[in-house]
Amino acid sequence: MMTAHEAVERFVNDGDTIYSGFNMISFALTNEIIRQGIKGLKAVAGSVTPNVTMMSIDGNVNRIETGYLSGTLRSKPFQEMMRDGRVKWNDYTNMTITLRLMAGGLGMPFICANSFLGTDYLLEETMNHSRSLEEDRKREDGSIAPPYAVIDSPFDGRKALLYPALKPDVAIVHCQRADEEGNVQVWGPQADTKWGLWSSKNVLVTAEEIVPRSVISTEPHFTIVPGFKVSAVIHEPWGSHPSGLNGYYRADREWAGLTGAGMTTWNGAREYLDEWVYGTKDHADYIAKYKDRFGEDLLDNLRVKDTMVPEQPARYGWR
Amino acid sequence: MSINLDEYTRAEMMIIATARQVRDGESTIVGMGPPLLSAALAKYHHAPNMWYCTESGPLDWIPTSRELPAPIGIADHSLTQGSAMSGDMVDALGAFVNGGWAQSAVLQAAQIDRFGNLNTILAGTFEHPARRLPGTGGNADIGASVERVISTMPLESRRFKERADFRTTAGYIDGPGGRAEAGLAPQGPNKCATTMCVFGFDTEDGGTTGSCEMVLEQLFPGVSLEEVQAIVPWNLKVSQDLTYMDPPTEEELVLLRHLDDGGNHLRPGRY
Repeated sequence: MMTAHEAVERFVNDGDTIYSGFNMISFALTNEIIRQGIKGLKAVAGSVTPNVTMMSIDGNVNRIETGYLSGTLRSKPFQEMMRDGRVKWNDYTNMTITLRLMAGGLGMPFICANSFLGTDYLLEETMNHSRSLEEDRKREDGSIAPPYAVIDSPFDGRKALLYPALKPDVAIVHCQRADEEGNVQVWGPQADTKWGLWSSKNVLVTAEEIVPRSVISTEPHFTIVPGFKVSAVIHEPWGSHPSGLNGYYRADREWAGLTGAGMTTWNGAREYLDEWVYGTKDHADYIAKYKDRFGEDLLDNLRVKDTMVPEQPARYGWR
Repeated sequence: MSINLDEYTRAEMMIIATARQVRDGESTIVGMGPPLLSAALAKYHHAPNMWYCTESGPLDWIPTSRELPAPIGIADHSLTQGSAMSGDMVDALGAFVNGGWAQSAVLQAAQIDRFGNLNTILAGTFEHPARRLPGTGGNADIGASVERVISTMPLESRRFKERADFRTTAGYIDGPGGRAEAGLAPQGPNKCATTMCVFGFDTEDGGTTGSCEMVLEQLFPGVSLEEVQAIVPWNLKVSQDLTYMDPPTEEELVLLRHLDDGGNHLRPGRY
């Protein structure tokens, strides 16, 4: 157990490749990365989300490898930086990024998928484009590795498309619950999460709830990575706010930091970051400030109240 | 509830026409945006036994209540109200789609071309994009592997191109034999449902023979052939059996408006 401040200070370095996934987004850690002024991160995920947009404003993130820009193009600053090269990117797909993370997690050099066969992604001008994070693909001898490669399968001679493994330096995620050892439990659609965590060297987890080991071990099927894979576990209620967490709260759709003024214009982004990120000392302070400004009700309205409970919980036993 | 059946928008008709392509009993991967609404309409209306699956991991969503609106996103929390499985992208796009278990797909795209290739990434040229778009998501993964692709988008000249500005998702590529040459399995018959009409594709066997070109099959009520031809920039093939599609039924319209929940998908001004 540690604080988000300690976790980012110890495990996130300038220039790192960072996994932050399509859902279960840790805005608590996102905000802390911005506060500490980490620079030049490369964000990788099946889909990147508005937390990556937020990290691009002050240059915390300047490179992206993803299959989808989820909500991020609503931001004019982000669009502008993609145009002028302040944010560079290379395109893959939801599946191929997830499979690349899987390959990284499994210790494999590459993985095979047919997603780009027959498309313009295989044109030489696309594959060799300098915009496509060429410098990240440099081999030891200085030559540039392709972003993916077609081979004839040695087994049946048919075309096979290979994608290189991805091994991020660090992963950030917000989960429903974890114990003090860092056993991470999640539920709901998991998108790219599991392989984002298995493939990353350091895994930083904020948890909505910290529970005893006995809660974990009586429902071990919810554990997505075991504690030994996790570098830091941090208790952060509302750690996904302004995005949502399945079973706990819905996304705060009108909130400036998600889709509103804090994202769409340079001025809005500046004001938002100054007030809500640099202007708060940690996520608890951010939530306290939110309650202070808008009252308890606004936050409470986001809470999921009508939750389903298991009709017949899973049973375990040994005799 | 009584509604005026003459008052519906072309966007509503597009959703309904898309839904009508979805078959009961079929396993379907449903893409981001309006496809979520179209497939939900099909599920509630005529295809209760379709498998409604999305790429973030929910497989076989059977809504726990007819009060639920259509999901807004592919990881909408409402998708866990009644899914058989809550997996991840390796389950959904890897095993379900790439493994060959998805029989059909409903996809949106920014552009479609003469041979049914889709574009989700940019307008303009790759070198100098006039506009960057969100990207493929699972679109390319799905186009490579799913046998029957139902695409949907408004009929607009910036979207219908002789050749897509950038082909992110393989349709029939450059015509007959294109898929086989690229290393892909046959696909089809594909459909594209728009705000004015429904297109099919001229191939009997998933892209091996036939011209593989887009073919106008059904016009919406009140839309003329000339109107469609004026928007499509190539010499459009027209089916010999060209028909008019039936207008929305009361049940379809009432359901659609309930599922859209005040404009989650069909926000005024968006279409």
